[in-house]
Amino acid sequence: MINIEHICKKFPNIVALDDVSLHIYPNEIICLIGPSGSGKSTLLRSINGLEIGDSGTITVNGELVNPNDEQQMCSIRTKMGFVFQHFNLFPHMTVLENMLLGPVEVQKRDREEVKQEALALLERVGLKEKANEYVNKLSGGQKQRVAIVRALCMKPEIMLFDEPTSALDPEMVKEVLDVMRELAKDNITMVIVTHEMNFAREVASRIIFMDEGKIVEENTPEEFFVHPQQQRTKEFLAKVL
Amino acid sequence: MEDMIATIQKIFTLENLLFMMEGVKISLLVAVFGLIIGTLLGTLAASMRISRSKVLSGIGRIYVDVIRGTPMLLQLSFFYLGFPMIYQMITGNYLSVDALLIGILAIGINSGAYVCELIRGAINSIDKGQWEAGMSLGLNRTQILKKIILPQSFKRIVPPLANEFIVLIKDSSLISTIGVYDLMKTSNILGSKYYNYFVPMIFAGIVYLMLTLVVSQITSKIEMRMAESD
Repeated sequence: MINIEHICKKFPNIVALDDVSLHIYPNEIICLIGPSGSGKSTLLRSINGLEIGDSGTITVNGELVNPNDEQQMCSIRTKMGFVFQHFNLFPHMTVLENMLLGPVEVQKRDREEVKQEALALLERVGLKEKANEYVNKLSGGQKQRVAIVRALCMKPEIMLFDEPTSALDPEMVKEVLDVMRELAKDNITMVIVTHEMNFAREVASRIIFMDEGKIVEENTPEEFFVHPQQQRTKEFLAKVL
Repeated sequence: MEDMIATIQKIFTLENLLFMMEGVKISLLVAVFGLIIGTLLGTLAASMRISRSKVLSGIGRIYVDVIRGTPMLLQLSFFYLGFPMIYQMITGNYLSVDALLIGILAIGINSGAYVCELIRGAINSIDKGQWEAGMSLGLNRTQILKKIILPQSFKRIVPPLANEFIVLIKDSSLISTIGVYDLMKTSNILGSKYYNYFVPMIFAGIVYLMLTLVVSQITSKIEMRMAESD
């Protein structure tokens, strides 16, 4: 479904991605873990064309991710939801308007129809009564839940999560992870960058461990956490678990 | 002291006051239309500067650099004196220009460069995450600007735009140099008529001060209103 081939990306002081190749299959739930600066967020953002690799290619459903081709990018992005660490909700809009923007402006769907779907989604995440509130009135956990349903409103085939709970107060982490757990049961392809090891172990179908721009190890959660193969993985797990 | 009072009484006749009020009207007219032209040009120049076309953004940049890097008084003289000369050189016909009209135009063109930069500043001050969120929903650049960035920039444009209006009220006095009877010019004329510049100048200063104070009062009211809706 997503084919990443030999992608490299340098930032001024750091090699973020060093010849990374990865294939993601439909309905997989991939958790990308690793220390800060290991390139996992850059990899995730490259899938959505928010970062441009220096070399290598990424295709999504056979379509080439090429940030210079705006039309192509728009069409690829409508099939992929992206959830940001800092939510990036639109502060000048209500919760509902945030959710309607993509489907109505980009997909040209009927406003009333989308509105019903949006309200149903909000009910699922326990925020139906907030539909007409401005997003600045919400707590961090509520904002992130809105960000998730905003992405879902586009009916994406793939959901990308970039450290969705890292900017949250500890007591709000669970409400966001619970929404993602529910989502994991829906047979949607998910790629999640996270530091929540227990969560990764519970929902992932495959764990990818990255360090210094390279994929160090990949495995099923059980094998990965119980029998890590690489020395670097063992060191990392010893510190975080 | 008695001399002073006598002079004041001599200068502030109804006729002279009306004469100066005409000047106030002209000054305000220049500031208002200068701001309108400046806002239109500034918006146009800002959209050129943020466009991905190198040619368009280059033109926008040259406009801003030239206007901001040269004195307004020089620009005013150029449009009033230099421009008709060029016209005559090229076409051979004599061009008579209306000082008020050309003054408003020159001040508008000048203001446009500053407005361009404040619009651009407001757009750039919007968090990069807002662009990315728009992109992740599949919106194109134009849609992101129209639906996400500009509505949020607008709030940040209003206060500096009001400040620009205050600047224009004061700088409109420069058009007195090309013979327009604005507040500055009328007070000058009264000064030379009565051999007393002090009284009319103080009076003009007070009127300018009142105008700018009123505008800044209104602006802070608007700002407070907008802060409430945050």
